[in-house]
Amino acid sequence: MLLFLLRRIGAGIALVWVAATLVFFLTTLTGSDPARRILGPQAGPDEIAAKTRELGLDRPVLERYWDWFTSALRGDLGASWFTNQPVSRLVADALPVSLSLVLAAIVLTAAVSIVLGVVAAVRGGWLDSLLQGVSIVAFAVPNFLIGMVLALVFAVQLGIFPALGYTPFGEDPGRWLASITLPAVALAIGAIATVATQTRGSMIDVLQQDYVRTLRSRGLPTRSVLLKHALRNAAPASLTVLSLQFIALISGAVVIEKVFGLNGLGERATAAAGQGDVPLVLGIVVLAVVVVVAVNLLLDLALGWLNPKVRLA
Amino acid sequence: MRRSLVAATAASALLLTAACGGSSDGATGSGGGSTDDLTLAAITPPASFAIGEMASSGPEDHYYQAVYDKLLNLDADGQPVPNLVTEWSYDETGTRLSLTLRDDVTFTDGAAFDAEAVKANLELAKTKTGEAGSALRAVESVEVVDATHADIVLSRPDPSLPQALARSTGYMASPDALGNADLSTNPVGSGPYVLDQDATTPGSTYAYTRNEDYWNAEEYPYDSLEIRFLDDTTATLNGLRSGEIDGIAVSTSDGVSGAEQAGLDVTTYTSGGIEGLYLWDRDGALVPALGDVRVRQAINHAMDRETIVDVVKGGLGQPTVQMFGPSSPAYDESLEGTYEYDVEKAEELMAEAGYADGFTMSMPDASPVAPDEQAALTEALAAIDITVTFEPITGDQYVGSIIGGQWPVNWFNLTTGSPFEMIGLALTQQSPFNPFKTADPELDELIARAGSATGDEQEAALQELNAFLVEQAWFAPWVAGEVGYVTGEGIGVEPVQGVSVPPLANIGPSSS
Repeated sequence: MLLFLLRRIGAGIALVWVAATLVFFLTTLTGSDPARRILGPQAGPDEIAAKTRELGLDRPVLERYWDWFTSALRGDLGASWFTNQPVSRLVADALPVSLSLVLAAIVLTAAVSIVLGVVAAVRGGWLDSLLQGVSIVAFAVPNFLIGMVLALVFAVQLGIFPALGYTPFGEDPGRWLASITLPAVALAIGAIATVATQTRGSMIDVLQQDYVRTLRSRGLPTRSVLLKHALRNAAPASLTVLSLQFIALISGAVVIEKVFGLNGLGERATAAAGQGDVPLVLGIVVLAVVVVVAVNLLLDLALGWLNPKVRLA
Repeated sequence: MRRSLVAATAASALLLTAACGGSSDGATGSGGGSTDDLTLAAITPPASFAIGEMASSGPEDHYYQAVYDKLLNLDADGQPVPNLVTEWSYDETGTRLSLTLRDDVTFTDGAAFDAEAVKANLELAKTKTGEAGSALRAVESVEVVDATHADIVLSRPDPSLPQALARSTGYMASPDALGNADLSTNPVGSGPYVLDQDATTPGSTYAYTRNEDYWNAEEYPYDSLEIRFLDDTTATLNGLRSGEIDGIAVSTSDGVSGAEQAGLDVTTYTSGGIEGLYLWDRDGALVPALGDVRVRQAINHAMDRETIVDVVKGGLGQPTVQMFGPSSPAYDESLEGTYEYDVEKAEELMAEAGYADGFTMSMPDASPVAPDEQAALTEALAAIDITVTFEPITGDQYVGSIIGGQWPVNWFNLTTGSPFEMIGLALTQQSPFNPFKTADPELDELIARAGSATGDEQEAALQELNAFLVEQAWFAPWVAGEVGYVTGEGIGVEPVQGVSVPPLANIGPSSS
């Protein structure tokens, strides 16, 4: 188990390095002129040259890469070209916003989709058809549209939730929850549709297995058959879909963060990429890859816990 | 699996709590004319608070104006008026600007505002690469006469300096903080507010509290100020409608119409920008045809400015043939009739110049940012058989390629604060936006005359210069741009003509 863990962590570190390196060289290929962007259209050529030197962009690409890489190893991700803030602080400020949003969405997804999936599988009939129909619609409607409607109805019209902005948990837990509720719901709806359908499918499969019939014939209560035996066997498939959804939610959060004016990682990433703020883009990429690697690792551990057979692989 | 059900129940309960919690304190706004707090939005975060590094005047102004006081302010017409500087005058050669300073101002670190502080700030800004560095290019030194008098010594006459001192060039930081490595993120000024670092999330939300010792506090009625970086129109409009945001500047017709449709108050005013076709290649280096003034005039006649403003700009802006906006002293109403929309006349001029069959030229593809504008100019040029091939280019290469002399003509929007800024940027041989270094002795003479004259004489010289540019068709502008400021309930704004974002002091409780 320890070896398995170490292997996964090693692979994760390699992945972070590969992704960061790729992005670094991709940003050098854009042919953009950060000095011009920072100084604006009215700066003269001398000023542009001076700023370019200041940013170190007059040096060879490999030298710049080596500098960035060695500093990053020491934990120094540099400073944003546009706001002069340390990248580590900018991402550290944005991470809780995105994580709150994505975690709330994933908790919501897990809770709602398992209940819906199990109910649909067990009850069947019109309830099942309804769930399937609603799933298709929920899956098809883009989450930003759902977000816009939610904001318009619950924030602008009814004033129940704030329309934009994020309140840190430490400042006021109630307002924290209020500030992420609408975005989390908007983000979760598509994921709920996917995971609920998956749960329903694997529950139906499991319920048709011989051992379930055997358990039932031995007189075990339905509740115990369903929750203790069937769901546990149906769960790995749902969990895998859920973890994939988690990664999808991180990217889905980019748009949702914009709609609700949350300055999370997605919002930062799009702004930085648009401006050509290379240090910030790299910082966000590194962090995002670390999060994805960590989630995959946790998933592997969870799958191993649910199904001992996986641990051998 | 019982655990997950418990977790699910807990999560649902939590979300319900959130919904209830939200109803009581979720959506709070300042609204209703209260002066407790003001929350503004800006479409960019501040680049740097360091002197000389602050971004060009525009959406970032409020971040800076909150902490830094300026030497001069601008009145509603965009003319300089006293602020930290109470009086100013040029000597007869126009190379020495004498300033008289307030004597009752201190910076928030206790340092006094005096002539030494002015000297330290301006001389530092001059060495930097920001807007201030360009504006101070003619400054040789700043001489301290006494505590409340300073002289700015210039290497050549620069009548645009007072304008610059009323914009980002005029920000004054504490002389004791100028050497601080963290001035870019930790400003120390003498402005109406102080940046509250603890409540600020860099790159996202900037919180300010009142500077209790500010000398002109009645101009700033709010006890606290928050400026949020928001670059999404939907989020901003939602925030304005729910009262979480009190104001934001919008620069596009879509933004203005979106806000109007949402039932918000929009105040429009001239931005100082002149948009249209900039005919750089007046010497015919890349496209010989453009060396003929008749061809350039034909291009001007081929443009249906009224329709372009109505359709493309959504009515936002004033059709114009001049490079100086309606609030500029160089503007001359009578020039507007020079190029009526007249394709026949344009065709005649083309034929006279020997281009009856037109010609072909290349332009940078501006369609990613200005698709409708590009369609309009393509159509106008096609009407006189000028074929344009558009070459792809990224947004941040656009300006650099213009300055590098890559294009004979292109769509552009140049924003300037004063006629002298326009002259410096586009009309001299050293100007960045005169990529082919076109020169004309008549123009140079007019520039020199405008620079050395004062008062009515200066205005007359500027208008003559303007008339020269229109007749010689150095440009083919189509609109003097307008922008808008959107305000939420209970908030009013007084714009400054030619300034894209109204000063912080001009945003307050609405009088109605």
